[in-house]
Amino acid sequence: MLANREWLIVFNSLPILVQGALVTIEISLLAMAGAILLGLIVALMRISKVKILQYIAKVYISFFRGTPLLVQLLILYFGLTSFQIVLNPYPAAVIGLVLHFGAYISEIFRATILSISRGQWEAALALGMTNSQILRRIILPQAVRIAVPPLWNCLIDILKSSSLASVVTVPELTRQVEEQSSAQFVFMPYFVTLAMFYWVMVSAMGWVQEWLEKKLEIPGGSSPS
Amino acid sequence: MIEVIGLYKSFGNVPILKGVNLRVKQGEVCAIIGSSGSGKTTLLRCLNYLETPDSGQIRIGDLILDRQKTVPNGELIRQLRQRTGMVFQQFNLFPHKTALENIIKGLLVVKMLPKPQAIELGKLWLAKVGLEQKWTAFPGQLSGGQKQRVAMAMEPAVILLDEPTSALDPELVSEVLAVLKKLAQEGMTMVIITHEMKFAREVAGKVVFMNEGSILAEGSPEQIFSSDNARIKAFTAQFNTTTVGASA
Repeated sequence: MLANREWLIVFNSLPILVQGALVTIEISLLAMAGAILLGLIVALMRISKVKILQYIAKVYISFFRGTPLLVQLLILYFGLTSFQIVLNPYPAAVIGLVLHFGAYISEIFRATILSISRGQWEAALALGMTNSQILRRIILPQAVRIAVPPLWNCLIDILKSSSLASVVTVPELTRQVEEQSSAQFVFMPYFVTLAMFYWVMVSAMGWVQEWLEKKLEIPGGSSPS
Repeated sequence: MIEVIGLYKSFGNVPILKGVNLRVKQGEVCAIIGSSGSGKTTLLRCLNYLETPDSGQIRIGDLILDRQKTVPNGELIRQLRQRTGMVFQQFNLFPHKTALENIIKGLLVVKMLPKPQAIELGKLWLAKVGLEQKWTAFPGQLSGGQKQRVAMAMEPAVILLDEPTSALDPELVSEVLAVLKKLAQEGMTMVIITHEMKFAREVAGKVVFMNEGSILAEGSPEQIFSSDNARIKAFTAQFNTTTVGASA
């Protein structure tokens, strides 16, 4: 049975866990911003008519979606040292998350951009707008709205997957808990608490999603016709 | 005003336009009629280069786009598009923009007008199509007829309309035709593909009958609708019993 003593130990180490959670939030937010930006660029490369750009995007997506995040982090942090490239734990974790999830997010953006009806492009072309104006002012604002639910799946995954940064020695939430738990010899209470921490953070992201979806709602609906 | 000389266009191996010549005068309403697949829509879409012709010349005002070995450059094509407004069968309004924003988008982004001036102009144009009360409404909050009237609220050198009433409920057709008639009477140059024969007869100064990628006949509505040509007779006969937007 779990003794109250064990929960007390967990309770007393809460400040350390909160510190870890802050690190988790920090690397996650950086990785989310980076992955969204990279995802958008790669999506545009795949949609572009330039064959070489399409090809680069395809190879990138294929590799980073086709190998485990953990393996990618190991290569970035430990593997690259063979080439005298030494990354600090933080940048290694953030870069790894950005590269990995940028591949997934690029496919979300590609799908949502292509889901905007051809008529929207044509109407904007007929006004005399350039392709980049159409993309920025007409297509992306509509695509982003549709992208929110699948995008949030990915962003939530980034937050949870940041726990793998513990492997490359980033002192984030999971690593802090692991260290505390093995030092104190207390297991279940620590890991249940760990799970609760993630759950709360992800729930907060869910509220942001709801707020954003409401904000992006179009009065009268989004059908172009 | 508009002059088309020797326009050819094929999709793959299928020729759609086989040397079309067309002239539309300033302030004239030119109705294009003909059966599906005769090349009406392709012709209209070539006029603003939504389709790139294989060869041929298009002149609007003093702007000439000559498609020979090369495609005219993008800047020239955008100039052409600024002189033409297009009204689509499926409206194609921007759903995330209000009626007014839809109308002034081109003024702001393409013509770089200052915002207050664009808004003033946009409200004026909305008033002309009778929707001055609806400027803050989003397309999803408008009826089909209202959407199409928003799409017509503009003043380019020429308006191109691709079956603007075919997607509308019958009772909404007349309100759109009424606005079209008003614009025509105000001297707007228009090229309109339509199946509203009554409208073509009443409003168009010129009717063009297209058949299998070329213009079979053109002339005043009287000339076309009383033509002896068997093909034209067969086509127009289908419409004689059809009632259309009565108030137009």
